[in-house]
Amino acid sequence: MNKNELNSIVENYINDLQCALREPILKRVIGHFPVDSIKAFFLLLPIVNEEIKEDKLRKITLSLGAIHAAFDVHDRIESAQATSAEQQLTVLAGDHFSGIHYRILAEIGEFAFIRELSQTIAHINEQKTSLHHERRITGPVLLERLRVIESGCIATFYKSYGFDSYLELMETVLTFVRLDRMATSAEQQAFRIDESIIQQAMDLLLPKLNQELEQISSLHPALQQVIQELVNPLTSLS
Amino acid sequence: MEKLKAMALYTDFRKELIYIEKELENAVQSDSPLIQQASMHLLRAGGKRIRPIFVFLSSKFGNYSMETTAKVAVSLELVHMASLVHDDVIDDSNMRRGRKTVKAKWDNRIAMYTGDFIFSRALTSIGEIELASVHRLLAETMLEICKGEIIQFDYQRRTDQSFRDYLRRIKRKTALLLSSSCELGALISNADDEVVKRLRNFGYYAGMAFQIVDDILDLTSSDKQLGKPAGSDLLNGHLTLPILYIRNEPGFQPYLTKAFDGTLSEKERSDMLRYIRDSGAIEKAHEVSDLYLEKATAEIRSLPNSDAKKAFEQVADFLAKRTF
Repeated sequence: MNKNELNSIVENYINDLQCALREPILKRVIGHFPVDSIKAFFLLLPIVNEEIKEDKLRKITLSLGAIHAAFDVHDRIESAQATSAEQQLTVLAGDHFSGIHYRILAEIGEFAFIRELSQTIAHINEQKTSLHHERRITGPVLLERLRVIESGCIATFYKSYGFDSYLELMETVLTFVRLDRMATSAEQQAFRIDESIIQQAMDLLLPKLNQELEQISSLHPALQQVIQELVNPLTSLS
Repeated sequence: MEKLKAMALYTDFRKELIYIEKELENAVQSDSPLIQQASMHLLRAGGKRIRPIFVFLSSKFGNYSMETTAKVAVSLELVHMASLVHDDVIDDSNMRRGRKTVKAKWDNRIAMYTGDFIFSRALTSIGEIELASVHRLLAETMLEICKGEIIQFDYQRRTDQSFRDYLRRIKRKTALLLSSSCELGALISNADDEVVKRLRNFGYYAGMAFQIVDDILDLTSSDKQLGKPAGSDLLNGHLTLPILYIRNEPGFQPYLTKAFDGTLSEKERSDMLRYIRDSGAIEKAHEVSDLYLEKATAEIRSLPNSDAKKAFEQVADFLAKRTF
């Protein structure tokens, strides 16, 4: 497997996810919704690295993609004014995606995973609420909240299906990516988080990220390459 | 509401209802004080708990277990609650059941997260049931309800809707979840296929009658009784059955245009409601709801006599004929 083949695996997954989530009215009003390709990559990471061809796991990754999409669109709802047609349908889009996630798991009868994941989803919403509401936050608290929000669902997937060895890498990279996004975009303003707190959280996480990167030699070279390309620009800036 | 709670049903099944309330409270316990507060705010606003009651009554037609039934009943009520929190964001509603909505008390984001949290708790509760048919049915129901809302959105402020469009809309909005409440109750108690079918149909017909009456009450009750402005459906751009009868009347059209434009004054709202009440449309809509009620009671007529059957007949009759 080379990098192009790996890219096409991720692209196929994203296409399949968009097909699973397609709804004509939503598409007409709110357009094409973006799928987080970095999360998609980490969802597929153990399956690709271990060359697993199990259909059930593929469906579970689609279900997780659906719940990530639900989170992403619900995060687009404005705090004060959500009266535009697009905002109103965005609420329903998230509910629709969330329903798709449940239907996929219901169809394959993954009852234990439904329970586990639902608890993670509850926890993620608790963390999002705190992040949205609290006026003062410290670097370590920010780090912990973002870890749960960004990697909670994938972590539950890894733990439930025996992919624990990839956990730390995934959590660290996804949290770092989000921190980087916060430091450079309007998100920082939306959450009213001081730049110095974000920097403090990044400084705290950086040694762990470097440590994780030193240990990726067990991964397929193409996977290592993608991770390095993803992380290098972030670490050089921080 | 209080009259409903005074019915024999609520005393006969008091033990189950108390159990459900406790389980609902347990289900929304949260590490986030704000989510906990918002969820409890919703729970304390009350509600008729029709869905849990339908689950309980249906499960009495098979091998009943209170603990198992409660898991499904709690899950359905939580799904309903979660959808209400999000609906209030969509409709920009500040009041529900005479209390501030979550979005009004906090903000839209908190309402979104609270709704998503409650929905996840619904799945935690039903996740305890390891029956594929139960999960498939609930998942399909939830998606259909959501699809109904998306379609309702598409139909918003459109006056070219048919009666069929309206019936299809209320099927997804209300009847489906009541139908599934009955079916799920019967499924988890392993009731006979014929009983499952009859209860599913009962829930569907009772749900149709219930929603039509709900739409009527939005036009005939006072603001105080509703806990929100009377005529809210129209103000939010939704055509309901009574309005379908009079939408083309020249005397009504200016009200409809202004209601949909958001330019209706308080006096015009009051005049509009009087026009509707005097038009005969309310009586016509009641006739349709009565037809559904008859169909509902016919479905369960052949089921063995029991307290649950009697309670179903009572509650269906009440829901369809209530005046508040």
